[in-house]
Amino acid sequence: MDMMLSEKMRPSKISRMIGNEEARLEAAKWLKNWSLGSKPLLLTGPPGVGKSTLVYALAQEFGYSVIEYNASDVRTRDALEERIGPMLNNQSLFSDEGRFLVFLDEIDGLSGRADYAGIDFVLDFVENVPVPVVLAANVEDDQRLKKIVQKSHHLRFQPVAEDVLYIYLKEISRQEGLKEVTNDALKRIARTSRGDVRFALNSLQTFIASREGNPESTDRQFPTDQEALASIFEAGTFEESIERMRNLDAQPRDKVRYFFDAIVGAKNLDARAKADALSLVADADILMGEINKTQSWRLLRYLDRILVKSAFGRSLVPVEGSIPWNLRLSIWNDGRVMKDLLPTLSARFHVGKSSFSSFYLPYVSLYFKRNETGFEKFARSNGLGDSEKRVILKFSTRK
Amino acid sequence: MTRKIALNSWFKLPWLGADVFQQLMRAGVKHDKQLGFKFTSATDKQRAISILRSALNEEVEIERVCFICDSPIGEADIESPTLCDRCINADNAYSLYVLKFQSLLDKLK
Repeated sequence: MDMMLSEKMRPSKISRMIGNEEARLEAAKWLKNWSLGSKPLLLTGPPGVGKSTLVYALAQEFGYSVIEYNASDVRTRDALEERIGPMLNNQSLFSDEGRFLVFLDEIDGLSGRADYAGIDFVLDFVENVPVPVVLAANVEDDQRLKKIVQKSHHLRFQPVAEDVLYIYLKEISRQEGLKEVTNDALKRIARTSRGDVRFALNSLQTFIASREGNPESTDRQFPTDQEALASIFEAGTFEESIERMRNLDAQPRDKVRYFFDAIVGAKNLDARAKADALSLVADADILMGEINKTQSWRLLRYLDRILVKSAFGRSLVPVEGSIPWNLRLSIWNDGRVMKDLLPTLSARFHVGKSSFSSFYLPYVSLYFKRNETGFEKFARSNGLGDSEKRVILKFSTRK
Repeated sequence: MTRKIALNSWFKLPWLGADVFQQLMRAGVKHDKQLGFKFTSATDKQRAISILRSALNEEVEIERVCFICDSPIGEADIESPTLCDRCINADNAYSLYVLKFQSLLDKLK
């Protein structure tokens, strides 16, 4: 299998996609009925649920060409204006020669938290450009996106249901002639993918590749990340390490983090050796950013090679007792939300920020958990978004 | 008493006040003056259910029907099932799924 499954299987028709059935139908209805002055379409949802795929499938189905911009590449109003502004002045571009659809991906990646100029420009743009515009974002509760949400036809994408993901994986296995992959293995991949189709396909590919040299094991268990990392670091040859990378059932971004962690925490490496190794991890990180930006998933194979190169021959051991990455990510994300939230809430309760977070928050959280209507009112009057509300309620579940 | 709400089907609610109405809209519940309310895949279901539970002061549950064959989905060991057991285990499950979606799409065209 030379090509990445996630690339090879990318559906070009809306009907061949999976999950978010209602949202896909709504999007088709929006483009079919689109006319000058129609609202832009805003798609929000986690990565890997088909937002970008839908845009291209819609365009193909209704005879449009897609002009795509990744808003997070641009980041400032000036840069964005330079890239997409000419469209407003070149209306002849949108003549009878062809129909165009503008796709602004990752609009939540625009500029810094306090800078709303990029978003304002997007709003100006979508109101004046004479073609259908689709915007996509991974989060919807970002305060900066509020205006866009209000002025758009907003469709929320959810993670794809596990059962639908399973029948899709089953179909791919059938098409690819993967008789050795059991239904139980497919179910497990569907479950561990948590609704991320891209992740599921990458996992299936990893699973197949890891079994190629070991055909007798028909239903092998996935090793834990810790075990897989240890086996990569212990491999005798570079190629063996690459082979073992296939057992690491982690998102590419997390692989970069694992290697970073292992190198930073390595007690046997001096500063020079760490710097050399981290330089390669930095290369892998840049490549990962490029892959995300260009959606060139075939480049993922080089990611593994760079990471293995950073660790090979250095006698690394996975960092033991460190906080798992998923938990650490959660702490970072929640911490960022709390940092923004604390000044408002502590002022509201007339206490300092640390007093509020240490003593008041668990009680406030518990109270609101039991009083949902009151919480909604409180959230509204304090302008809290979904992230802020989720983080506040989390504190009541802590022991 | 438990109120069951089927996904993608219109249902009526008593007047619960502008506040609750706004909360439901924010949770992505669809509304039509004649038909009532509808939970779709774009609805934040957990949030909408919690709003309704609190406003109606009764238990509210989502009643699921299979996307392919429309039969009710029983207790499943997975979160948010979309398909019934019979359809999941059909050899041509994905083809049936695609056909069902295509038929819904054709209605739009």
